[in-house]
Amino acid sequence: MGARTLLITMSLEALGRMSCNPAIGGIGKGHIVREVDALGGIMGRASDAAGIQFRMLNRRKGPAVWGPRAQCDRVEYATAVREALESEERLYFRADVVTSVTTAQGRVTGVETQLGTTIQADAVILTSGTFMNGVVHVGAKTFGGGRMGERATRGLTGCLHRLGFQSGRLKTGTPPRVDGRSLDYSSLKEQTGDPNPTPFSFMSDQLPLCQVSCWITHTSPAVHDILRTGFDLSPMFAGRIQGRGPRYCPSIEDKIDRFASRDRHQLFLEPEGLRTTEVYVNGFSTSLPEDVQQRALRRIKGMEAVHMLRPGYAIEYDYFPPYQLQYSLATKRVPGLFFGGQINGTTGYEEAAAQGLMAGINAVRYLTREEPVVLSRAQGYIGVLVDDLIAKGTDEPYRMFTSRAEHRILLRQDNADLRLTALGRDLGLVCETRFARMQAKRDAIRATLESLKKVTVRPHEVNPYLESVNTRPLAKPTRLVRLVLRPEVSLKPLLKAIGQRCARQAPGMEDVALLVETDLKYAGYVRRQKEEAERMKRLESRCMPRAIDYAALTSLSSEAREKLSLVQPETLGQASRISGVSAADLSVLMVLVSRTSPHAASAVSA
Amino acid sequence: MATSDTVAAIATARGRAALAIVRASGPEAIVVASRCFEGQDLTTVPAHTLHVGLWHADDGTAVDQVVCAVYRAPRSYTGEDMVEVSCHGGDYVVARVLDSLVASGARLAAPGEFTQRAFLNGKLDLVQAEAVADLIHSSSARAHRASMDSLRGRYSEAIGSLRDTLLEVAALAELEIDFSDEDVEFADRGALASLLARTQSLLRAALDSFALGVLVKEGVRVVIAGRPNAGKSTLLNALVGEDRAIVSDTPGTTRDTVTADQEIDGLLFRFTDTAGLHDSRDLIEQEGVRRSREAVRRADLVLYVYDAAVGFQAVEQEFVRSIEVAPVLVVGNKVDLAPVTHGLVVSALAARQDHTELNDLRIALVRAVEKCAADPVRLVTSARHQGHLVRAADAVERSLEALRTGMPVDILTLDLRAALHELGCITGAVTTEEVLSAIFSKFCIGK
Repeated sequence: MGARTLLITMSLEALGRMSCNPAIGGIGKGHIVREVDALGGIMGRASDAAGIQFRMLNRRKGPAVWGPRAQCDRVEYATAVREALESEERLYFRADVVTSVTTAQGRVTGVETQLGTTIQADAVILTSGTFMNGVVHVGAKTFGGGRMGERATRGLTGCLHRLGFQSGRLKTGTPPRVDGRSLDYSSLKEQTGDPNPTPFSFMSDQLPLCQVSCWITHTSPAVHDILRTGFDLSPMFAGRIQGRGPRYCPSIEDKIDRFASRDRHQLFLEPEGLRTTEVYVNGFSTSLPEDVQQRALRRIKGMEAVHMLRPGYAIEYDYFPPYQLQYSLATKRVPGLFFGGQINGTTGYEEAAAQGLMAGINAVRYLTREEPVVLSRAQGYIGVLVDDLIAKGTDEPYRMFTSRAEHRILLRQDNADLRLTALGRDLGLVCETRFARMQAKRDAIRATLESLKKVTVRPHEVNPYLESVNTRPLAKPTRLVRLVLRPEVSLKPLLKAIGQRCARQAPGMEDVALLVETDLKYAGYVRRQKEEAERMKRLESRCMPRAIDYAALTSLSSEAREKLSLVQPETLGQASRISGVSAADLSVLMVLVSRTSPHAASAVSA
Repeated sequence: MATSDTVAAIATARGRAALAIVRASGPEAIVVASRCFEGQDLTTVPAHTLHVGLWHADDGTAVDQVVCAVYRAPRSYTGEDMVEVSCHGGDYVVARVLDSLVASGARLAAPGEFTQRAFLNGKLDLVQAEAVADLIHSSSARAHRASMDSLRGRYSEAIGSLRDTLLEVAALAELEIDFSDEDVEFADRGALASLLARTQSLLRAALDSFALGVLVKEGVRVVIAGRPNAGKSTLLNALVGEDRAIVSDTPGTTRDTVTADQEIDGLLFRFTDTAGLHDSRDLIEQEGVRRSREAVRRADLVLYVYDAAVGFQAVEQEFVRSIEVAPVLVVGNKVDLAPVTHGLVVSALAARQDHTELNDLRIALVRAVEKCAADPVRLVTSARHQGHLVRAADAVERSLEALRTGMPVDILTLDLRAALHELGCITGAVTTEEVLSAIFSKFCIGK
């Protein structure tokens, strides 16, 4: 988009550093990576450059919920990120710590740093991660830090308080890292990557790094017993940690405490890179004392002689509940100030990337005095993420699940480019090559669909295949597109059986047959969801008047009055998703909206 | 709050009236009405015209002779296509006309929805806006109160366990999608199917127990009770105008329960005549007595008949007081034989010759029903609940079908969500957060 941008970070070596598991994507998260990529973001390309184990999760479920995931080489990932950033012409870097945001007449004017520098900027994006007043806990030991071995930042929270913001406290954790040379791989279960890995980026034609395996083991009652000996020193149980942690990513002590009846928990031993022996013990997030961690690890099968490189720890940090944001991710209080990532209560690299991208886009739009870009819930997971944050807020670290997307069938990871790349091009984020690739893919799908619609298959050609997948053989010639509707039937073997090929190939590593098959099989459901999305759009397009005094609207229920006053929704759609706002309240709001702009109202419902 | 679908509602006040109007509004209003209307094809008639014809229920039976007024967008009250059906007054006919519109594709309108649509389509001026907001507020509050009333007691439990079961299915399905790489046990298809089947049977049970069915659609169950030979059967025959019950002077002739339907003032009454309520040594009669007591328990209204010649006995008074489930109307019969001391005065025998004789009783019956269902919103609210339950049942059926045909689990969840949405319209929305919480509380998630 061409804006002159300065990136300030405590350490330039920390660019692209993965604080937790060096893995990108997963179910729901993988969708976000593909969407960020479709809009020109670098996360997908960096993951492809650094990926050492690619797996498509949920492959046996419907294609809408397939989740690409890659284990990455931590060093390669950081290198890829830094290279991509450094190749941006108008992006500048500076190693320093931002300690306050400066304002004049209520608008942002820049930032002040620890080194005493004042930097002027009309738009500022804060992406503070876990660093603001970060506190690290390992057993009874507690010290300030943004990550293990890195300083926390102080002062920024206080500055934001003075500007009128409210903050909260969240907690997250990470497991120990161990030395791969001390593992007994012969007693671990191997988990290999996909034989034909799928890249994240729509621009990738190949995956450069060699592929490795992850390893699976389990805890046991003996391990649990050892862990329990540390409970009274656990910062969680002793109440030293006040921040709320994510329910879907509990510490191992939480797991054995809450699910006492389970005698074992699965652990994934994941390599951190090709040129290091460091291994990440996924599933063993903990803040128990270091010696308890070490002793417990040594009771795990395959880890009897394990050498711990660094202990797991919990970290508490400040966040700013996201009801204080607009849909552009700009703060409501201070024009020009944007928040992205964990500062908004989310967790995960992918969620952070999505917000960073949207905050970046909208900061530039703010500078150029253009309308903010807001993705709808029907356009992408990024839209779901931003809307959830702003309409519903969060009081635990928020991560994406596909179940959060009501239009899940429309939002496939393999059509993120078809959904978003044109928008990316309009915004100036997407290069012509990427746009052309998206068009070529779209054309290939269309051409193939058209040509397949004309194809009729004869029983003797396809019956052997049909019988092999346990579905009724044909008695008479049938149109191919009808046959594909059967759940058991796949397009590729059908085409093979009749000696046909896809009408056109798609660029890169996209599989046209699979895309076409999905389009055919899901056409009816897609239509249904599109209609639903269309209905919802009407509410989304109706803006609420600014600065309504909800407290004075006695026609609203008291709960709705309270929630609406706090959130100050931008659209009727957002209002409809605020918990406590009933259908009746919404009707009252509709009348209100219509009253303030009668012409818009009749245009929308016409 | 979509304005793209078609809604229907009763436009006139409830109760006895010569005429009533039921209207439908929305893009499909004319098509929906034409499906029930036998006469001119409403879809081809010009706007602002009236058409006489026969109205048919969804099962094909003729309901009433009606006049349909056809309006086309934007020149109508709501600004959408609209049909107003003028039918004969009385709840029974009106409810059946509304029912058939819903069966043909309309949705029951939310409180104030017609006015709201009119407003949104620019049909009302700004001065009226505030009034509309208040109207929606007050009518929805009333509807809410009514729906809470109807949810209390026997429905609440059924709806509650229905919601729980469906939430469990949804949680299991979502677990399989969002946490497929977790080390948890996933429900197999058989377990999901049996949970869904359970949901379906709960839905059917809830539908069966709905109040609208009891009072309007299926009729008011009136049980005629009294001592043997008080003249119950004679009274029944007088009321329905035909010889349904065996009438004789021997006490205890009616050994089984006899039922007969009669419409009074637009309300359908289903009278059940019972064997006399005294303890007989005759075995067959004892069985009859048991059935009588059973019948009283299931009544919406009890008509207690005593013999004026014998008087309203103490044991009878005690029996009447002991009936808690339904209002009791006490009737003194055979007044030609003796003066009446309690309750209404009728002479069933005389009535058989002169039908005007029973008018007081008829009026008393209708009044008693109106007292049961005093709040007109309650009727509509129950109907709306019923609509949601019917659509929920459809969605559950589709998900069972998806399961049978081996559709992927994300397709299954489409219908589960639809069912949860419908149920949410009754119980309050079922949010994603709730589904996720159900997962996190039951399964150990988190690598």
